[in-house]
Amino acid sequence: MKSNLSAWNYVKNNKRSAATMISALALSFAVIYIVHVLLMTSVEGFKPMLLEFPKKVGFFSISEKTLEKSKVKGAEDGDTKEKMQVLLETLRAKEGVKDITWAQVLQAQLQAVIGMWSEEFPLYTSTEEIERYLNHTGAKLVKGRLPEAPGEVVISSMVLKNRKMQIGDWFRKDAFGESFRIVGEVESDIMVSVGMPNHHYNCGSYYVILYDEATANLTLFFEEMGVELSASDTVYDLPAHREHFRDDCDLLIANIMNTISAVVMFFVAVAMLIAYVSFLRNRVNEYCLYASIGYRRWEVYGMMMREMFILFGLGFLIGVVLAIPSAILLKVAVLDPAGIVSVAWYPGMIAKLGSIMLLILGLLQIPVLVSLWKMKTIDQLED
Amino acid sequence: MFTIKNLSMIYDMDTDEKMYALKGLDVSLPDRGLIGIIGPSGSGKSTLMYCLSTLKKPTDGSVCYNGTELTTITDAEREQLRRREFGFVFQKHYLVPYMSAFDNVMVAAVNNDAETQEKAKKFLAALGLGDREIGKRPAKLSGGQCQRAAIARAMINDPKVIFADEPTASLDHENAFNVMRILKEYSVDRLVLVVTHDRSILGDADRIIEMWDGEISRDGGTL
Repeated sequence: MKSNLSAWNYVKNNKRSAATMISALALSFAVIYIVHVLLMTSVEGFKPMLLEFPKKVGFFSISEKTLEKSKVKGAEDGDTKEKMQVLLETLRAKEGVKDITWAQVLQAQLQAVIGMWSEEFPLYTSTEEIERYLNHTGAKLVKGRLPEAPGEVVISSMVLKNRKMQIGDWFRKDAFGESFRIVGEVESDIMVSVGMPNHHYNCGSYYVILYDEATANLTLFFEEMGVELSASDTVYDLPAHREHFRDDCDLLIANIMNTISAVVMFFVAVAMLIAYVSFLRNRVNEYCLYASIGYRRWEVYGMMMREMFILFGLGFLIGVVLAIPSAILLKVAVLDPAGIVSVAWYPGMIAKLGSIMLLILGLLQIPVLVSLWKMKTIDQLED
Repeated sequence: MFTIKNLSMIYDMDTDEKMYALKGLDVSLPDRGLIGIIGPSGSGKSTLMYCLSTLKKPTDGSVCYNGTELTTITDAEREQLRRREFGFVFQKHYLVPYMSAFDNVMVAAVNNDAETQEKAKKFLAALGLGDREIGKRPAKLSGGQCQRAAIARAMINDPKVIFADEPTASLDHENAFNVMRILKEYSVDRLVLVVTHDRSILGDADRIIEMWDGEISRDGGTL
């Protein structure tokens, strides 16, 4: 015996209320997705600086105090100069290490929709060192010229765009005044900048080490060499950057995003629950009729579930169709021109939002099952 | 077709003052014909009809339908009977408001093939609902048209019995007689039970059962 309880009947004959439910779901989906894309600029934008750049360049400085108390292998009884000398020689001898130079550094800043990251870049005293640095990092000068005089810098295209600077401008005039002039633009996937020191301003001095990824764990090297690192030392290597990325970008943004999703979806769930209860109430007579003319409860339940799947399915599909092009448009029209690194396609987020919608669908089982349990026949309704 | 023995229905079983809707009824109903059950409000006529149609389970007694004891069958068997062998016309039409008259008929059908769809259209046409009306929703139809669509819904599976509870209650005189004419035609080779308190519509009934206070006060004869 075929059930003629069609789920489409309700949807096609109640276009307005079905459209309201579908658009509420679709819009919630799209809004959360867009917020996710915006927040993720803090992850995507900082990825090159925090995960790629430190695979090629590291910075470190070991304090006198640390060297004094450390028993550095090969110079256990030496003074601090000897110990440092041994450390540098051992490092230089390591496979993958191209250069170690003591240099002043500056900080390039990259702004995301939320948050800003500052990353050091070296100030070398000779053009040869600058060329070696650019060769090692794979950066290419695309405009202007390389620094030739003190206080000249070449800056990565992405940073220039992001901070709205151009060749000829003073670099970070707000922080350094008229000390560093931008003379060139370099194209680099890992946001490389470099320059020559000015005698008055800088952001400190470090050993700048050019290495490859296999050698990029300086902390481990110093520990193996017997250096007891403390808060007075600075080691900006790959593990340190990865830790920053995990704690300050990835986890932070994930937590913010989870909170926003939970709050928005909670309100969507409550709204859907209220709407659905009233929707079921309006259809009591209909369900009673089905029960009276011999439909079984599971057949009525099947129809209700099919209706819900249609509404949620369409809500999800329209949400995706709405969210992805909006995200692409946002990226192309707003974020890219502002020099903010962004990604428009997050399949994981789509799957996550789909799961949340399934969860809301599960929640709606409560009123559905209650109304099925309470379903009467027409004689009871008329009693 | 129906053999009813000692049928009782008591409401408020748990209270001291039991309310008898039916008091030990004994009655037999044939396979065909239009049978009217009349009586004032509270006489038990609707309760009797609902007990026969398995919508209500009597407190005591037996309802035998074509050799099957209806008081002991399972819920699934009851639903099967209501779906395949019984048709219902209620006091209010209970058409689904968002469906067309045609869809309202088809929703009760056990099949959804072209033949059944054609049959639904034929029924509706025979009941005076033309091509224009069958596509309309109940809100766009008159009370009489709605009730006629409800009759078509009741007849779509060619049920052996049609139970009609006050089918003309919300209709004007002309529509009421039209509805009764249709039911009379159907009763030529099927059983149609009409519960009403309006004697005037039972002029064509083959048999009238009068009820009073849960009991049959008169059985047989016509008006």
